[in-house]
Amino acid sequence: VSGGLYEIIALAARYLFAALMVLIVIRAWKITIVDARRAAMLRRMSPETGVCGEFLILTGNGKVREGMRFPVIREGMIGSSGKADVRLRANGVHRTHAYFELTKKGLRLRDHASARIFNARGEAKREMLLGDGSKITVGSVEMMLILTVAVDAPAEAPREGLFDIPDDSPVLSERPHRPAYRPPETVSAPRPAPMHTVTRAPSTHAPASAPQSDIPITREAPAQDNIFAPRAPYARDTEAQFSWRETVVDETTSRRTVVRESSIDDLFMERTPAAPEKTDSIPGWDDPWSEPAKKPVVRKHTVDDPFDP
Amino acid sequence: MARAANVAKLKKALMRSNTRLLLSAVLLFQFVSALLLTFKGDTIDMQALLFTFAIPAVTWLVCTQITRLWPVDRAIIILALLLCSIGIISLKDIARSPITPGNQAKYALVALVGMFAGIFGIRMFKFWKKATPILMVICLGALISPSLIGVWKYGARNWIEIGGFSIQPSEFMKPVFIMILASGFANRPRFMKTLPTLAFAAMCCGILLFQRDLGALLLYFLTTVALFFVATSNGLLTLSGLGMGAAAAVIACKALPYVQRRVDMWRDPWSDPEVYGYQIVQSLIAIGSGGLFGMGLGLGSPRNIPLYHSDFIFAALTEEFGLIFSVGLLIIYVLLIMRGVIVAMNARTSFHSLTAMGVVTMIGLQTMLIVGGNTKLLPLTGVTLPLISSGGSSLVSTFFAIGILSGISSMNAEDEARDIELIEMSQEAMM
Repeated sequence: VSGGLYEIIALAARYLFAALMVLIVIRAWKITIVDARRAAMLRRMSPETGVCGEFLILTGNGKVREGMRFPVIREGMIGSSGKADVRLRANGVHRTHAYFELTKKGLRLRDHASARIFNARGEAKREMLLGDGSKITVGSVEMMLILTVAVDAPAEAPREGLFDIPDDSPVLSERPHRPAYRPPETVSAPRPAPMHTVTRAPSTHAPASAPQSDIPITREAPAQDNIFAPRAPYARDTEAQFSWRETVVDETTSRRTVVRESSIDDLFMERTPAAPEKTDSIPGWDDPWSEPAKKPVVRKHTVDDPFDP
Repeated sequence: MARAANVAKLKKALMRSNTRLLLSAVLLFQFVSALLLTFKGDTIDMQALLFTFAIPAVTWLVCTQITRLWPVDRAIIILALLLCSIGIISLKDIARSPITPGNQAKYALVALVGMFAGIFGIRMFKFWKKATPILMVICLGALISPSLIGVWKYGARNWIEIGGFSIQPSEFMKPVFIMILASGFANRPRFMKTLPTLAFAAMCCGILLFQRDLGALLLYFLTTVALFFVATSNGLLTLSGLGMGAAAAVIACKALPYVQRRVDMWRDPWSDPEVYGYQIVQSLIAIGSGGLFGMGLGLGSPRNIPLYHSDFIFAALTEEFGLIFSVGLLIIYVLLIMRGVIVAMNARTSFHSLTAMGVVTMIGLQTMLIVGGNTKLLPLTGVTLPLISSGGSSLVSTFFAIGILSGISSMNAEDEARDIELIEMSQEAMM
């Protein structure tokens, strides 16, 4: 190509290069902004992502009460300060008390400065490796680790009975907001039994061979009630999700009769008198998440229990 | 179901944006610019013709195949490859010998292998705490080697020659240095526990000062301070560190004549435009003569600038492609850093978070120092423009760091997908 022709082409091409650069910048900028928003939304909608287990408070003190549960991420800090990932506002807990980190062998815990952590036998340790069911004491708080991921460390407590409780699944549920924990002032939570002695609560489901009479289906409160009664700080807004109605269907008229309206708290709190019977036909069980225009499914002796498998 | 819809939203949130248009624009730029250079002379330039097809082909191949192996952030890879191709094309235009762009293309291929190694390595690197002392020894040994067997180049003794190849250990050790810092600062330790890592960083800086490699010294120091602040959120200690660095810079300026000269030339390069201020003066003339759209590819005279292929390549690019293109180039660096920060924020462990943060900090500081030096915003320091300047050590090291960043982004994506799967499973169990 002659010098003159090349010069003309090159002078024209510089506008193309500038336009291409502008296009690349705009497109890359848009992608980055959209991806940043998506990443923020992901973090906001699933704040528990990365949770590998939880600490269950066995003996509480101060604002840390028995039965409270604290999610455990893969690494973080236990302390009483606002920066702590597991914030224990109780006597004897330092602002920065201990660091934890999930390893293949288990949750490695090491203390900070003069803070001490104690194992299940009451021995002070500077560093510990916790498995599922390991118990530790931090300050005046005794707690047990419940791991939801597989590690090499052997489990120290029976898994059965821990995860069959109805309130365990929301750990990984989506919760858009994280309101501050407000412990119920009027309800005093009984002291829980040691976790290794906890047995599975009696079945709350109606037996398949329940009589087709007008005898209302009753639910027995679990023997070991109130272990999980105080709401865990991250189990939020679950009242609406975990209320249900027990109904009995009359075979002749195909009408449903509400025998009881219950909520999840009824399982663990003092049993209140049964709700008065209603004879209204129910369009659907009272689940706020369900779609409104759903045709009711007529079943015999159905208990619309969200935890009923 | 509303809850199920939220899972769908989460899944959508996990998806990254479509990069097809971005990749197409990058491929078009590479093809047109290399094709233009093919017909620059009286005869067809075979090397440029090879670049016309090879550069877009390699870019397309890497961008499409890498996501089949790992769920990496593809936009980071595309932007890095764009910057690398701009470097090769501009070197093809401005270099006096065809050996320089040829070597740069070979280094780029090696760097791509390094990037894959970086992704693979960070995904496999599980025992980083145990490996840290070994990495420290390797890093210190490599940094000290030019003092023993090195050669002087451009006023600094920071090169070693092995088998006919010149290697700059301070460039190669950048990703290793970042990983050592991330390992030492991980898990929010208290100040006393960071002291060994800070002492290691101080030793590295001392070695670089002894070799008069001021650019690398500044990078290592500022990266250490930035990572310390990110890891500990201790503003007082960070400001103290910066203050000590500033005091050391003032002392160095007074004590070392060549530092004093650089500062003088930064303040007034026109006082000696023929000798010491020649570089900056020629750089400013080149940037000014480029105008908004540049002189045109192959029509400028960037060879008047000393070190036009390495330290002053930004001025050469501005002269040929214009101000709009150069500002776009800087925005691309900013976007690369923004994406890296997103990766760091989403990382699941503080080690990976700090490593990603260290990589983008190092790239950002390096860009700021050399562009600031070219435009007389900062005193000139001898660092390369990441991914664009000529030089194998810098290119391989930067691509390795980009690989580490991409590897962390792929681990984030996998973790997020696993979490969403768990949410789905728990919801199904509740139904």
